[in-house]
Amino acid sequence: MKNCDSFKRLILLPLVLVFTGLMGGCATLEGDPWAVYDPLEPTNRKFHTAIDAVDRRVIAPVARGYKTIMPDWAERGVTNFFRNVRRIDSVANSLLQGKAKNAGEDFAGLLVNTTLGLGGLLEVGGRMGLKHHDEDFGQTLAVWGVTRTRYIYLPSGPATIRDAPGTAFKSWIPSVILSGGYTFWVGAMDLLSVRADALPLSDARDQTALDAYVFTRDAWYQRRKFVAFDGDPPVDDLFEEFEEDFEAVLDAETEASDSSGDSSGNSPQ
Amino acid sequence: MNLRTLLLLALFSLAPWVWAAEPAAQIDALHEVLIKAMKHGGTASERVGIVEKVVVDNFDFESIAKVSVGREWQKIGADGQKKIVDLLRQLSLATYADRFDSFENQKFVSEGEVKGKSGTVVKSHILRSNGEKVSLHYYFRNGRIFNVVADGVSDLALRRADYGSILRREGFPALLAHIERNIEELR
Repeated sequence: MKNCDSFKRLILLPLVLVFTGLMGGCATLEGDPWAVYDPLEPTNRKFHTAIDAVDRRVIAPVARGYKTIMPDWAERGVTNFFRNVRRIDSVANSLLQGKAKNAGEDFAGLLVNTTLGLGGLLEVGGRMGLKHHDEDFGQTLAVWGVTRTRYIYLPSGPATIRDAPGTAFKSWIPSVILSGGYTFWVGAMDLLSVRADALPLSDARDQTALDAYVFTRDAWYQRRKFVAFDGDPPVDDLFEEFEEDFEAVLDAETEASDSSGDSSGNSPQ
Repeated sequence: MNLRTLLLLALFSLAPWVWAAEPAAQIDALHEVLIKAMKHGGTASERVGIVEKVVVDNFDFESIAKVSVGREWQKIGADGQKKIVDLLRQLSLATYADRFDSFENQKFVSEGEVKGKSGTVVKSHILRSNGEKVSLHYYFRNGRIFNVVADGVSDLALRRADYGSILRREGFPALLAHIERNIEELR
């Protein structure tokens, strides 16, 4: 009966999330599914400021403490364990996207880590060349034609309406798989290991970013595209983007020299 | 002007392209110097001294500045342009000195060149001692690097968005002040 309940939770929650997510962001735009689309920026900025304040005051310092206390091998073990549990998501979404090879590789990695890797504490699959593909439901929806949806800033971090259900599902997987074993403290450990792993990124952001909101949003979009293309996005996309920038600068220079030419031409002799 | 002078002029005008090393060789040289800086450790200013030549020679800071400020490039005038190019050069040096500060058996692995429509990309990655891999793609234009993409995140695209936001909300002098503060924090 308990297993049956877990199964229902496993199936129903994502469906509800997908439905509400898609209905909430009903309209999707044509075009690059990985281009920034943030019409809710003023609201998102407020959420970002509030969530960031909590993170800076509470979560990040605790994660820093966790990183200091935990020996490296233990910290890596915890990260590996939860990453391995969540790999089931990558297997399912590889299949949903028709990427049988990726699904096979992720499934083999999951199997090897769970058995030879002591329940996932050791990343044995990686050493055997089994790549972790990190597919998720947001990427699946993009493949299925849900293109650009609104950017939203959630307590879990950046997302879009398209990606939010998949993100929620992914964070929820360990509680389903471990069922009663996913106690408050195990959940806290899960959260802290995720946050501790992200510390180098948030530190780099704090060191570099002038506008933390824009920096986080754009970095997230770029990273999503990178993962969606299995680490090999087309190089010409960026070249084209920058060529447009160079042309815009050139146009501005031409306009300026034209107008100065006009004004000198119109000036009294 | 005789034929010999014409030939010499033609040769000099082609010089940067003819004499420039292949992009992959330029990246190998950059990586070699970064390893040297990491092995040296020491202070940030010492590491800046180690990486300065290779960074200044191989990065196109004017192109980086043009994309970073976009259409504002024309409005900021020659002094503003010179100022931001110089600050971006200093920021880049300070960032390299800060990020590559200690050697822990990292390795740079070259993956070769890819020819794009309007330039070349040199693909490589850093392999950390714990097996972690961070991909590094260097974008070249006219023989020099103008964009570095680390694990899918483009340094220049981020800079353009970040600086663009400050330019719109606070203006060019504020942007310069922010960058100066950034450099100070990294030193």
